[in-house]
Amino acid sequence: MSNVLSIIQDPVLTYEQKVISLARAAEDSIEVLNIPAAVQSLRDRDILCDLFEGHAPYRPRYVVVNFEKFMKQGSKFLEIDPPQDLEEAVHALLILYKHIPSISTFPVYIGSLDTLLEPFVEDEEGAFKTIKLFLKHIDRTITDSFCHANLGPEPTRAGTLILRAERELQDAIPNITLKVSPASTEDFLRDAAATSLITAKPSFANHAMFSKEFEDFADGYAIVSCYNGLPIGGGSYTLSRLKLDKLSYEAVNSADYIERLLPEAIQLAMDYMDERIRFLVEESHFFESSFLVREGLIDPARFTAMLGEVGLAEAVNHLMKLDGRSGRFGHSQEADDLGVRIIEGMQAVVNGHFNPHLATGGHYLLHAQVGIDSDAGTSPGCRIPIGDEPPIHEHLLQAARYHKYFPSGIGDIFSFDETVKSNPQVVVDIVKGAFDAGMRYFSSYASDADVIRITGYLVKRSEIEKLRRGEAVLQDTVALGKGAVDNQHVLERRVRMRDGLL
Amino acid sequence: MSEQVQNLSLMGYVRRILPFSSVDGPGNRTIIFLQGCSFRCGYCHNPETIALGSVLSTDEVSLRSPEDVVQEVLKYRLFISGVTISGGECTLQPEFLLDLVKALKKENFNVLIDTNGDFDQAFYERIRPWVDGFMLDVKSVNPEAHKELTGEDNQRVLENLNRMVQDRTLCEVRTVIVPEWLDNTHTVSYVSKVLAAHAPETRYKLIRFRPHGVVAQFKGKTMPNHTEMEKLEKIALDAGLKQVILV
Ligand code: SF4
Repeated sequence: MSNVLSIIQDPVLTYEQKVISLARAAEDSIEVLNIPAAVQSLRDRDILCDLFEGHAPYRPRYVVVNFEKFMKQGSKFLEIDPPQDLEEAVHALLILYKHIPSISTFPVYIGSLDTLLEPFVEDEEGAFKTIKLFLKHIDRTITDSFCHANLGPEPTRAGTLILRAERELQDAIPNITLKVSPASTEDFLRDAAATSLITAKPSFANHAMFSKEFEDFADGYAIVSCYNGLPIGGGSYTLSRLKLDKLSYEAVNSADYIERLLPEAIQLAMDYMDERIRFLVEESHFFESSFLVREGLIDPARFTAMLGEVGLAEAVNHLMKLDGRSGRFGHSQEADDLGVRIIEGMQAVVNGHFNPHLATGGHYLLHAQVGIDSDAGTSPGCRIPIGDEPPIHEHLLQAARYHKYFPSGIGDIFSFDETVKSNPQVVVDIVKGAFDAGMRYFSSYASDADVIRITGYLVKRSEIEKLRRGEAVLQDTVALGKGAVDNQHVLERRVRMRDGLL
Repeated sequence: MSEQVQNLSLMGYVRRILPFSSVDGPGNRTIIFLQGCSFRCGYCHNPETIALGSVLSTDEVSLRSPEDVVQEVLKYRLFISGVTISGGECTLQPEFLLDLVKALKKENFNVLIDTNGDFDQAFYERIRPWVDGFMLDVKSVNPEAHKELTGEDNQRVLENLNRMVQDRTLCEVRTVIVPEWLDNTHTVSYVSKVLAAHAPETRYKLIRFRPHGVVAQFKGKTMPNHTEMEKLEKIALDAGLKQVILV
C-alpha cells in the first residue's frame, strides 16, 4: 500500500485528485478478473493496454445520458422537476452532472447543450449571462477535459450564445463538437470556425456519417470524451487499445503481421474486454442499482464497447522496412495502402466476434485512440506523426481514407497560422471539403491560442507551465497534456497556411 | 514595361499554383501565380515574378495550357471557395488569362483577379463577364511617386479603380504603406473616398511595408509604426468604409 501513502503525501495533487487516486488504488488492490496467461503476456509486452480502467469494473467507462428525456421528466431520485425556465434548466443539468459515473468520475458527455437550452432562451442578453456562468461552472467543477458537449447541426440562438461565451471564457472545459450537416448554416459554421481558432473548440463532426452508423438507435448518437461516437442513452462499457507499432516489432513481414499476429492480438484484446464486461454487467450490479437505469436515462440495451488502436503510422513504417520497401506512412501510396489493409484486417476480426452484451450488433466498435501522456514514439490512432505531416490538402485526403472504419471515433487536428483568424471561412471550406472526402471528424486551433487540443482533449498552455513550475492545477488533464507535450511534441504540430506553407 | 506575350493564346507562363490561401480573397482559395509584371515596384516581395519572355528559367516557370492548370486546380476543388489569379501581373498575358478564366468558369469556380490595375478599358470589358471580382493594388495616387516606385504611370490604375467601384466588381483594394516616402495619407484618403461613394463595404487592406526580400534601395526604409497605421485606418473608417484591415 505504499502507493496509497505516496498519493496522500503528493505535493502537487489537489484534494479532489487525491480522493480519486485513492479510490483507484483501492480498486486495484483486488483481483477479480479472470485473465488468461496469453492476455496477460500481451499486456506485459505493452501491446494491449486497458488505459488504467482498474482491476474491478464497477461502472461503464463512458455513460451517455439521455438528457432530452431528463429535461422532459426530471428525476425522481434527484427530486428534480422538469425545468420551466433557463435557470431551472442549467441547475437541473449541473445537479445531474454530479451523479453521472465514468472512468474518470466526471461525465464524458453533458448533452446537446444548444437544443437542450434553446426552448428557454427568451431575452438573449439575460440568457447569455446565465449560459456563460453555466459554462464557467462546468469548467471549474468538472475538472477533466474529457467532458464533452454537443451542438448543432441546426443553428440556434442558444448555440450562438454558447460559442460567444466560449470565445470570451477561453476555458479548456467542456470539449465541444458541432455536428455538421446541410442544416448547419454558413453563418453558424463560420461562427464556430472562428471560435475554434480562438479556443480550440468546437471540433466538427460529419453528422451524415455518424447518423447512418447509429441509425438503429432511437435517439441517435453523441460525441463524447475525445471524439467518440456512441449511442445516446447508452455508452461504452470499456475500451482497451492495441499498440500496433509494438506488435509490428514481433512480425517477420507485413503478411505475417496481418495474417497471424494481428488477428491473434485482437482476439485476445476482445477476450479481455469480454471479461471486463462480464464482471461489470453480471457481477458489479451497476445496471441494477443505478437510478439512471431505473429512470430510463440510460438503457443497458444501448451499451457497446470499443477496441482502440494506436501507432498505425509507426507500424506501417516498420513493416514497410521489413518488406524491403521504402515508402513512409502519409507520404507514399504503398504505405498508406498497407495501413488500410491493416485496419480492414482489424475490422474483419472485430466483426467476426460476437458478444451479446454489445448493442452494436454484438460487435465491438473500432476506435482510433488518441494516446496517453506516456506514449513516446507511438502516434495516436491512424495519425501521421507530428513533424512528418504533409501539406494540408494531401493530409486531409490521406486521413479521410481511414475515417470510415472508426464509428466510435477518429479525428485529425490542424493548427492554423493566426492570419486565418481573420478569414474563418477558410476553416469552413476545409471542413466541408474534408467531410465530402470522407473524413469523420476535424479539429482546429490557431497557433497562438492558449487553449489547445492536445490529442483529443483540451488543455491551456498556461496551465501546463504552472504544473511545470510545480504548482497545483485544478484539472487533472493538465498533467496528461504536459506529458503529451514532452513525449509527443504536440506543440510542434505543423502550422498550416503560414507564409505560403501548407 | 508594356511588353505583352502575343501569339500564345493557348499557353501561358505560370509561376506557381498555391493550393490553399487565406489571404487572397474570401474563404479558402487556390492561387494561380502567372509570371511577368508590368511594374517594378521597389518593395516587390516577388521580384522573380517580374520578368517575362526568353529570360525565364524553365525550372521555375512553366508554359502551360489553361486546361492543364484547371486540371490541377480541380484537385483542390472540394476544399476551396474559389480561385484567385495573381502574379506578377496576370493581365500581362491577356489572351491566356481570358482562356484561363473561361476554362475555370466552365467548372463553375468563383474567380477573382488580383491585379495592379495596369490594363485598359477594352480588356476590362472583355474579362469582366468571366470573373467574380477584382482585387486591386493602389500603390500611390500621386503620378510622380507612382512612377518612381513602379516605373510606370498610374492613370490606368486609377481609371480601373473608379470603373470597378462603379460596376461593383471590386472585392478588395490594397495599399502598401511605406513611411516617409509615399504620401500614404493622400492615397488612403483618395481610395477611401472613391470606395465610400459607391461601395463602402469593399474591403480595404492597408499593408505594412516590410523591408526583407526587397531591392537594396528599399532595404533601409522603416516599417510603419502602430500609430501611423491606426491613423490611416481611422481615415478610411471616417470616410465610411466598413472593412478596413491592417496587415
Ligand atoms: S505590381 Fe506587384 S508583382 Fe509587380 S512589381 Fe509591383 S509588387 Fe511586384
